[in-house]
Amino acid sequence: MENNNDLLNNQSSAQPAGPIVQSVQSQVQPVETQPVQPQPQPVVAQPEMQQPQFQQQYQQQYQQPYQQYQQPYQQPYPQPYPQQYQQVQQGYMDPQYAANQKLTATDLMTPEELSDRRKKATIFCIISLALHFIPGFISGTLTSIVENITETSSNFNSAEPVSLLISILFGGSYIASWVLMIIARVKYKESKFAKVLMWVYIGILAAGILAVVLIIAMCAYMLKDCQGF
Amino acid sequence: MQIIIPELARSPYAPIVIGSVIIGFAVTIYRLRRSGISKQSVLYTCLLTFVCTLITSLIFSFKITSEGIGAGFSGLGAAVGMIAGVFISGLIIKDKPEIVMAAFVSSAPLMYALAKTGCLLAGCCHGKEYYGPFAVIHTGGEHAGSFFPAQIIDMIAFLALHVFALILTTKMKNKVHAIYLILAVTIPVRFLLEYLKYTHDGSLISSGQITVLIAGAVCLIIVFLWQKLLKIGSPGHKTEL
Repeated sequence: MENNNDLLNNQSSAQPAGPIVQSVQSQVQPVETQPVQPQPQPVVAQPEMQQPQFQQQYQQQYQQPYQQYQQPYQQPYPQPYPQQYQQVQQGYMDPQYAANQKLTATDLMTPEELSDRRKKATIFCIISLALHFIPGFISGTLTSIVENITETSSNFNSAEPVSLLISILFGGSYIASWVLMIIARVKYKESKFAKVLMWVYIGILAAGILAVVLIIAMCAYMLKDCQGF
Repeated sequence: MQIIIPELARSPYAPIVIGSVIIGFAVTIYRLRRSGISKQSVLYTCLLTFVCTLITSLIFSFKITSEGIGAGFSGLGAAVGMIAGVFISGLIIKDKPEIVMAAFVSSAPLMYALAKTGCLLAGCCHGKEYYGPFAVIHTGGEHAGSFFPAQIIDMIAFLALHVFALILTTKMKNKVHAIYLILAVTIPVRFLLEYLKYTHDGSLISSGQITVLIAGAVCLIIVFLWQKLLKIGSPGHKTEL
């Protein structure tokens, strides 16, 4: 009974979908020998039937013009690339966005503030330069003063305080020049003058150390030669 | 057993002293970088401290005599100059100043110990006349003779001080206490080692020992000023500025 009900249900559900001729045949045939099969719906079959036409129409309307447009882009670029392509390609491959770059304190300053800072850094550097080199220029005068003192007193003990004063002045000005340069480097990082000055000082210091080592070594060598004679 | 030092054709004194200072600075730079101090801060601090060390060392030994200008490298002057250099750079840069000072103070004994090799080979800073075991014999030159190995004892003592300072600055959380402790040990050791040198005249305190005490006091005053001006150890002090 349950099977019959199922079959009847199937039959009833199949009837509205199938054509009228088929529904009449199913009523005539016995239910047990030939079960009713659901018929393909005409709505689904209809586009399948029309597909070749549709494809042809689609190709004519859209695909062929698209391929025509696409064709120049698929062709390789002429070698070497024209300048305009190179610029586009470089710009595309390596984009430089302002948002990706780190902002420094100087980027947020107005041009007036920047020029003020540059002036201050330059003042620091010029004073540093003066302290670095002026003692060297006046060393001749100072040594002549020491020589005069020793000649008049004929005693080198009187020259000791003077020599100590000279060494403190020279050494102090040299250290002060480095201090001012470091202040300029730390406070005004954007100053190129301070940067150049730093490397100049490092170069002079390295050359000075090398010269002292070589002079001491050479003097010892010469003295030994003199002793031999 | 005796240690014989031949007279050398070229004096190795200056290269060894400058080399020892460079080695000491290299050790300091390594320690500062491991502490997370930026490259720029290390560069500027080391440049300024190196210049101060070298110049103060020369100022201490600069003399005008009848034979001309005499100059050398003074260990005490170098120590004062180094601490002054760290103090000045701390005022300018302010990047973990207590770690910087601790690193330099702990490296100073290493520099001194290595520089004593130059003294040993050149014959300067030698001990009193001595003919027993481990006597240092200089065969020629200005310092010819047999002497007590004061330079070798200096080297050993200051290498031990360097190890002691390294342990203190690494283990102690309060770097300022470690710095004061290192100075409190180093100054008396340097004072006592003066008794072994030929310059000591046999009195209770020689002029050289007074110089040591003055230099030590100057170092302590600079460290005290550094601590107060930079407010290190105070509640408002921040390690990273």
